[in-house]
Amino acid sequence: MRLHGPNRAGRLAALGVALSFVFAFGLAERAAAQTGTITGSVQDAVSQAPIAGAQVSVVGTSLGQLANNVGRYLIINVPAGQHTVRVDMIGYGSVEMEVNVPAGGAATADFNVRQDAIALEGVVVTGTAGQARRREVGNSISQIVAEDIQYTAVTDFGDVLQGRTTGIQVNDHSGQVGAASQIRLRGNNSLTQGNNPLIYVDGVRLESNPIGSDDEGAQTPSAFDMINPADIDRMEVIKGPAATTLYGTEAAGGVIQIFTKRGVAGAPAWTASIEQGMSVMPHQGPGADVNPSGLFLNTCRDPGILNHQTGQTGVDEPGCPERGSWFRNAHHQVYNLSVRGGGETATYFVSGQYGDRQGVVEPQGADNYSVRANISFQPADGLNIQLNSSYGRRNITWIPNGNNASGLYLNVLRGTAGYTPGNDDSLVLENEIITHLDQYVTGLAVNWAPNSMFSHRMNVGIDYTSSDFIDFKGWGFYERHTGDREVDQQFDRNLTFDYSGTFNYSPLEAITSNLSFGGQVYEEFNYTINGFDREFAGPGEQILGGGNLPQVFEGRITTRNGGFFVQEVVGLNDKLFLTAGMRWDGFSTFGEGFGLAAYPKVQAAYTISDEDFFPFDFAETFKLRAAWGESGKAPGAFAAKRTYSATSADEQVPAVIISNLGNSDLGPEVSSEFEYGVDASFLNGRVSVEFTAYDQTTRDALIGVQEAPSGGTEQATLRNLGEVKNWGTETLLNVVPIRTDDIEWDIGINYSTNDSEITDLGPLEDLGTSRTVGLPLWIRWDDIIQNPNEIGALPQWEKGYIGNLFPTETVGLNSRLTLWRTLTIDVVGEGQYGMVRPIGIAYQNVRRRVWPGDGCPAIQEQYYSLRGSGASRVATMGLPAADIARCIGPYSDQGIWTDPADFFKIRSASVTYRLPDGIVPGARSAQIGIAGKNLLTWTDYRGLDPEANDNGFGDSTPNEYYNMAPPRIFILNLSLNF
Amino acid sequence: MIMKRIARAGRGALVTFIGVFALTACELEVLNPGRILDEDLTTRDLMPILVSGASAEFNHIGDFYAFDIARLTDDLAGTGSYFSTGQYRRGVFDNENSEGHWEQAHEAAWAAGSAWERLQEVLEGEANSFDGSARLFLLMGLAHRMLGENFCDLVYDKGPLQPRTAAFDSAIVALNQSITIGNAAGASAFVTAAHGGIAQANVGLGNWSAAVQAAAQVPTDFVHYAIYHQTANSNGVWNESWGRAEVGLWATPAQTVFDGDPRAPYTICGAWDDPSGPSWGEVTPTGDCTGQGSGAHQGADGLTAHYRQNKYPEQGSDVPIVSGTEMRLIEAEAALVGGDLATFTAKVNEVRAFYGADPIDQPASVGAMEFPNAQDDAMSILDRERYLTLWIEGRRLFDLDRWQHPFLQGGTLIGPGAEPRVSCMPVPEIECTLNPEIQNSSVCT
Repeated sequence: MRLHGPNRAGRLAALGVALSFVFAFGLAERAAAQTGTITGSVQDAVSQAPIAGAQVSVVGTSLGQLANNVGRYLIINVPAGQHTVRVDMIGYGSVEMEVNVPAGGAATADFNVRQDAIALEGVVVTGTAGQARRREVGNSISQIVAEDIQYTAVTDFGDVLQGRTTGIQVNDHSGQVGAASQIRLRGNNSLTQGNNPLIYVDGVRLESNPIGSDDEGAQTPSAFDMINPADIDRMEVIKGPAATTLYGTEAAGGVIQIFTKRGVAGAPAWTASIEQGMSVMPHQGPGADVNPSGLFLNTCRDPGILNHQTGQTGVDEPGCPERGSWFRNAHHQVYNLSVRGGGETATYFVSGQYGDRQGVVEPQGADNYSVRANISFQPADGLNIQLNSSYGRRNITWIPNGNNASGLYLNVLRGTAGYTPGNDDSLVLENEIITHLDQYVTGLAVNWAPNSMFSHRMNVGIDYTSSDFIDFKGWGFYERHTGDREVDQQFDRNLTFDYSGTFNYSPLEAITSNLSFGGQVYEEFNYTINGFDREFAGPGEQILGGGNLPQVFEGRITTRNGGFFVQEVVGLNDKLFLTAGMRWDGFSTFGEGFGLAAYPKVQAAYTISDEDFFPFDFAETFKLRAAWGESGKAPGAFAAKRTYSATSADEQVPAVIISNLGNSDLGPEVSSEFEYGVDASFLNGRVSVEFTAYDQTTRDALIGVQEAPSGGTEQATLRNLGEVKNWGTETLLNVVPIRTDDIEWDIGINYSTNDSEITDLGPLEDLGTSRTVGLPLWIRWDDIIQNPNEIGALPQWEKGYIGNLFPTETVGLNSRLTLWRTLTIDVVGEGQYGMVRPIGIAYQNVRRRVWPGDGCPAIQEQYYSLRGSGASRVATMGLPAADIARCIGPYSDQGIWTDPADFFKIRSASVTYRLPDGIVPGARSAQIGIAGKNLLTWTDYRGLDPEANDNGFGDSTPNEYYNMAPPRIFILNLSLNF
Repeated sequence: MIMKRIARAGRGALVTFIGVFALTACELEVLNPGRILDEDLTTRDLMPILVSGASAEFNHIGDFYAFDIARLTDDLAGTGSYFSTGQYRRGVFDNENSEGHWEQAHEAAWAAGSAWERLQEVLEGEANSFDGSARLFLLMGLAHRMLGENFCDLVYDKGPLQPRTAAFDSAIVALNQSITIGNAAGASAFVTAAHGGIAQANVGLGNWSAAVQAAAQVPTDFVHYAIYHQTANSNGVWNESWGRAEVGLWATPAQTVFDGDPRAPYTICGAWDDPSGPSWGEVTPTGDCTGQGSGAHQGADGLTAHYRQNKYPEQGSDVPIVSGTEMRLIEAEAALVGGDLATFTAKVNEVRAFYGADPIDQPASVGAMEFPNAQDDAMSILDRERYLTLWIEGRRLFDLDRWQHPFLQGGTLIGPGAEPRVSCMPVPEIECTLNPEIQNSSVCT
C-alpha cells in the first residue's frame, strides 16, 4: 500500500489536529479539575443587611470580586487547595476566613462584618493624594457611614453630623423648616473670613456660603441641605490644617467629603421608603405656673388661664388661629425610591426623593424633590470612570420672624406692646416670604491605574446653585400700606478640576514609596440680582416694575484659585509611614505683590501593635500618629485693590465714593496645626479608642484696619496682621458591652474640647465687641452689673467679658442596641458646654413689661405703682440691684440677660424593626421604624432654646432674638428592599 | 523593564501635570464688570461724579447727626427698641458711641479734599473756575463746621489733640476757597451757602462781628440742604419716625411748651388713654397715621404713644444745613450779646414772619436760659427760636453746650437723668487706638 503524499500529509495533519485537540482538551480538563470556585455572601453582622460592593479577595492572588447588590459574590478559577479569603469594606473591619477549595468544586464563605471606625486597612481619600489606607495617614479622620444615617432621625444634612463623632459642632438655629444648621470643625480660627468648612460631594466642591437671603425670617438656607441624606454612602471629615494642606487656600476650616451611593453588579435592586412624621412645639418660655400660655405662642386664646401681661385670667389675642394656638401639629411626608445594579463593566445607582414638610406655624414649610444618577464604567482593566449627577429643588415658605418689626414672634411675644394694629398679629403672616432653590451637581471622576506603579485620579465637576427669594408685602399690608416687594436672585457656579497622580515604588522589600503630585483649579462665579419696588397702584400687577419706586442691583464676581502639590509617603515594613508634602496656591484675590502661597505638611503614622516587641496582646490595633500642616483662607474679592462704588447722590445723580483703599501685598491668612494622637482597639474590637490633641495657630490673619479716622477715610483696609490660637482635644470611645448571637449593644462616647485666644490684632485691641486681644475668638462683651447685691441701689454697670459664644466642650453619647438581629434601638445625645447666649426676647420683653419669668411681674408692679424719681422708687423697694437690673426696663441691660447656654439634647432616638422575610410579598427585606428628634433638652438657659440664633448659619455672633426654637419631630418610616 | 514602564506611564502623568500647572498659572484676576478701579477715574467727563460722590459722603452725615443729636437733646425723645435709646435719653454718650460720627465727618471732608486733588490733576487750571470745585470746598467747610460744633476736642491728620475751634478755623479756610472759586465759576448758590457756613463757624469761635458780616450775605429765604431721595439715600429721621417709631415728640418741649408752632409740626398717631404717663396697653391708635409709613401708633418700645414729627414727611425730605432764617437768628443773638434788644426783636420777628408765626414784643430784659423755657426774656426767646428754627437739624447740642443750658443738668424726659448730660461728643476710642499722638492725652486715658 502506497500512501500518496498529499493524502498522507493531510491525514497527518488531521491526526495532528486531532491529537492537539485531544491534548488541549485534556489539559483544559486537567486544569479545570485543578481549580474551583468560592462563593458566599457578605452581611452586616448586626443588622444582617447585605453589604453591596464589599471587596472579596483571595489573599496572595489577584483573584477577587465585589459583592453584588444583594451581598452575594462568586470567585472562579481559584486554584484548588487551602486559601485565605478576605473582605474589605469602607467603614467596616476587615475579615479573613480560611477555605478549602475542592478541585472542580465550590467552597462557601459567608461573612458577617462589623463596623469599625478605626479599621486600619480601610481606605480613605480625603486629605490624601489619591487613596490611602488609614494606617498610612498621620492625621485623624472621622467617618460616618450610611447605617448611622439610617438609624438617625434625619430631616436635613446637619442632622447627619450631630453627636456622632468628635470635633464637629452642628447647631440648629431655628425651627423653621429649611433653615440651615451651622457647622464648625474644631471651632473657629478665622477672625474675618468665615469658618464654614469646605464640603465636597464625590469630589465636587459645593458652595459653602449662605445661599440667597432671608432677612425677614432671620434664617438662611444652605446648599448642603439639598443633598438627599438617603443618597449618602459615607462621609469623611478632616478637621484642621494638619489634614487639609492638600486642599490649600480656603481649607483652614476643615473639609467634609460626602460619597454618594453607587451601583453594584447584579440585577436591579430597588429600595423604597416612606416617611410620615409630625412636628410638635413644646411649651415655650418660662414655666407653665407663671406662663401658662407659653408666651402667647402655645395658647393664644383660652378664657381660663393666666394672662401674664395683664395679670388677669383670660388670654384672647386678636388674630389667634381658630385652634387657639399659633402652633399646629405639622405633618411631614418623605418618599424615597432608588435602584442599583449593573454588569461587569457598567453599574448604576439612580434615586429620587420627594418631601413635603410643614412648619409648626402655618404657612411655614418646605417641599423638595431630588434625583440622582451615579454611573460607573470600567472599560478596561485599571480604568474606572464615574459620572455622578444630581438635581434638587426646594421651595421654602418662611414666616417673618426674628429681629423684624413685622415678625410673628416679636409681635406675639410682646402682647399688646407689639407693633400690629389692634394687636392683630395674624397680619404679619400676610407677608409672603418664599425661597426657591435649585441645585445641579455633576462630576466626572476618572481613576486610572495603567500598571501597578502608577495611578491617576481626576475629578471635573460643577455645582450650580440658584436661589430665587421673594419678600412681598402686598398693597394694603398694615405696614407700608402701598406694598413692598423684594426679589433676590443668586446664582453660584462652582467649577472644580482636580488631578493627582501617584507613583508607587518599592526600592527594597521593606520600603515603599508613594510619590504623588497634582493640582486643582477652582472657579467660583457669583451672580446676584436684587430688585426692589414699592408703592404699587393697588391689587393687580404687584411685581418689580409695577410699583412707583423700582430699584435693581446687579453683582457678578468671578474668583479663581489654582494650586499644585507634591507629596511623598515612605513606608517601612507597612508599619511606619512618613509623609512630607507641599502645596502652592495662586488666588485671584491675593495682592499683585504677594505671589504664591505655600503650605507644607509632614506626618508620621506608626502601627506599633504590628511590631513583635509590642507587649499588649489584648490590643489588636495600636496606632500612633502625628501631623503638622498648613492651609489658608483667602481674602475676599477686590480686597487687594483700591476701588470705588457707584452710588446715587442728591436727587439720584450718579456718583462714586471710595469703597476700599486696597493692599497690594495682601495674601491669605495661614493656619498651621500640629496634631497627634492614637487609634487603638482592644478585646477583638469590642473596645476602641481614638484620641487626638491639636494646636492651631493662624498667622497673618486678615483683619480690617483703618488709619486713624482723623487721617481721612474711615475705610478699613484688609491686612495680614492678626494671630489666633486654637487648641483642643478629641476623644472617642466605642464599647460593645454585649455581643451575643441575639444581642449586640454598641455604646459610643465622644468628648471634645476647644478653646481659642486672639493673640494679635496688629494696632487694634479689638474688632468690635466680639473679638478682643487676649480673649477667645467670638465672645460676648457687654455690660456686667457691679453691685448685684446692693439693696435699694440703682444698678451700676461696667463693660466686660461675659463668655464665649461657641462651646468649649461637646459631649456625644450614642447607644445602639440590636436584639435578635431584627430590632434596633438607637439613641444619639449631644451636649454643648461653655458658651453664653444673649436672650433678646427676655431683655426686650422686660422693657415692655411682658416677661413672665424671674419674678419680674411682681417687681414691675411694685416699681410702677410708686411715684417719684427712679432712684427713689428703687430705694423704697429695697431689692438687690440685680433684681432691678433684671426686671425694670429703664435699668435693664442685655448683659444681665445673657445666660450660660449649656445644654444636653437627645438629638435622635429611633426604634427600627426588621420585618420577617416574606411578610411583604416580593420584598427581599423590609423594616419599619419610628424616630424622634429633639425629644428632650436639659438646660438652665432661660430663653426659648439655647441654639436659637437670629443670624443664620454663617454668623459667628449668635444671639436669640424672637427666633423659633427647633420643635420635637416624630417620624414613622417604612423601608422596602426588593 | 521597570524604567520603560515608568517612562510610558510617566509621560501621560507629565502631560497632565503640565496641563494642571498651566491652568493654575492662567488668568487669576477677579472678574467683575461692576467695580470701579482707581485708574478708571481719570477723564474729564467723570469729574462731576466725583463731586457728586463727595456730596453723597456729606449727605450721610446730615441726617445721621440730626437723628442722634435729636435723641441726645430735647428735639425728639427716644421711644424705640435700639440699645442706645435709653442711654441717649439719659444724655449718656461715650467714646464708642461717637465713632461713626467722627469717622463720617472726617471722611466727608477727606472725600472732598481727595476729589479736589484729582480735579486739579485732570482739569489742571480749569479746576479753579469749575463750579464743582466750589461745591467741594463748601462740603469740606461744612463738614469741618459740624466737627467743631459737636466734638469736644479735635484731631486732624493723625496729629495731636487740638481745641474744637481748630475745626471752625479749617471750615472758614475751606469756605473762603469755595467763595473764591464759586465767584469765578458763577456758582452763586454755593457762594451764598459758604457765607452762611462762615457765619456758623464764627459763632463757634465767638466772633460775632465776623458772623454777622457773613450772615448778611445770606437772604432769609435761602436754604442749602443735605439732599435725600426716597430710594438713593433716604432721610434717616424719616426712617426712624415714619418708617419705624424709634423717636417721637411726646414729652419734648416741641410738644409740651411750644405746641402748635409751625416749625415743629407733628401728628398724634396714638393717644394715651391716661395722659398722665406711660403704661402698657393704654395707647389707642388715632387712625391719623394709618397707611403712612409704618402706621405705628406707639413707639417701638411698645409703651409710648407715638407723636410723629412732620418736618420731614417724606423719605426724600432734605435736611437744612445753612438757612437764611438761622442767619437772622445769628444776627439776633449778636445783637443780644451787644445788648441791642430792639435789633434782636426785629431779627426774631423777621424769622417768625417767614414761618407765619405771630410777631413778639420786645422783651424787657436779657434774662437767662431756663429749663423749662419760661419764654419771658430775651435769652429764653432766643433759646426757643433757635430750638424751633433748627429743630431736628442736628444743631441743638452745640447750642446747649455754648449756652451751658440748664437742660444739661438732667433734662425732663421719662426715667432717670444722668447729671450732667453730655453737651459734646468725645474723641472716639478708635482714634485713641490708632493715633499715637493722642494715646496718652487726657481724652484717651
